Amino acid sequence: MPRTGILADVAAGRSEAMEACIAEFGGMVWSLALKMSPSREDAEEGVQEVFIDVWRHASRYDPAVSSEATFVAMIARRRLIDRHRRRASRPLFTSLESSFPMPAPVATSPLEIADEAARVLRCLDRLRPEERRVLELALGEGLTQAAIADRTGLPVGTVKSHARRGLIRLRQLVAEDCATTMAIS
Amino acid sequence: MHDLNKALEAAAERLRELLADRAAFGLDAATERELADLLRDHPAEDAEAFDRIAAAVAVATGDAAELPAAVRARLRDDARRFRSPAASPRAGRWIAVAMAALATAASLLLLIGRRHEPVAPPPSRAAEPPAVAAKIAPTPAVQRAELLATVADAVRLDCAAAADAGSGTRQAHGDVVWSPSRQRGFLRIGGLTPNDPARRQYQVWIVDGDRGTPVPGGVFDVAGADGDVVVPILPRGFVQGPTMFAVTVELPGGAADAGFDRDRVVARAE
Repeated sequence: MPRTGILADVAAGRSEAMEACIAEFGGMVWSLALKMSPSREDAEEGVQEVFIDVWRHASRYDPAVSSEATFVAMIARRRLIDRHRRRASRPLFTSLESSFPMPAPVATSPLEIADEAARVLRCLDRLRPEERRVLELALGEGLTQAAIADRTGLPVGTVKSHARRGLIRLRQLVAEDCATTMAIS
Repeated sequence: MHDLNKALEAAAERLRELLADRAAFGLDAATERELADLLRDHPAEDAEAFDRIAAAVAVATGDAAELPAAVRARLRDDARRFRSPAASPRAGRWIAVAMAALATAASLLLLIGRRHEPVAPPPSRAAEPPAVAAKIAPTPAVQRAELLATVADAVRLDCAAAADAGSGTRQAHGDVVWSPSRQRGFLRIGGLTPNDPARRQYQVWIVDGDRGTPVPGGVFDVAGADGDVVVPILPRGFVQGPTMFAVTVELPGGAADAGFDRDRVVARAE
């Protein structure tokens, strides 16, 4: 079972907590970085920046709002998207990309999927298929709008609107699911 | 009143759209500003709600990869420095030497009218973690990480040994980080043969577009064969559009402003 309370320990300055943070979330962050970076070197730098962000902002974590994994993934995605945006805005050098092999994923036991993840998957199933597909490619595989357009054959504008509508709908569904769960319990 | 309500609803809808767009793919600078304006007008909006949903989907549908041992080791170093921001004795020594070198260089430049190369502070090892949160005077490695993390136009270029480099530098590898707007950058390089500063020094050059003469970027030393060094690039003069960064071996103090001999190039990034 994943350990909990890591971010609170990091925020409290407990010396072993940062090591635990790396052990618990390193694989997830590394996977996100590989998917959202043009090269392995870039991914390595991205991971370092992500963890510094996580340690800096650990005190902001609120267990009533999300799981620790979601909080870390949120910070990771923000940092990695920002790195992508900065690369895209660079006028001088644009040929930094290099291909690199993706490592085999580490199997994750379904039992270890948190309630929050299970809820999101449940709600994801209720989206329109094209919205779900775009969100899985964007968020699960870390693809850009252009890459999703290439993969699916959809225009970039349509990809963007599917992602937008899908996320807005998903937020509503998750809120409804939470309300239902609370009512049942 | 009806029109006002419609306008408010439209603004709220636009806010949700932009928050969803940001969570999915990020926003460009202009749209970020529009979002910031809307958030100011809607202080009660949960600005992270879509980011959390997107992250939850990423966690639920993604996988975890095995973190490479080298990356894990760097993260552990980062963690150690993050929770112990006080400078280590060794780091303190480097910083003191660096500050002294910078002060000396500044004094000399004032005295002799900038007729010599700027003196770069001693290199720091890249193995030293980029402890961005350190509350000490940042090392070049930390400054490099911060430049990359915070300056939008900062670029990173791979640096490799020159094709005809001598056997002692064929393993040279690293990168250059450069910001056109800040006119500063950093060279991170490993695999260079340690030099005797009394006999030879390494010098950084910036080949600047159509400019005929390369711009000197400072001199540096490599003290040991293990690990990388990170040195600031201190250009003499404005760099318009760099097309290549080169490292040469020169006499102590570096070569004159006239440029470098291509036979002396041991590594380059372009």
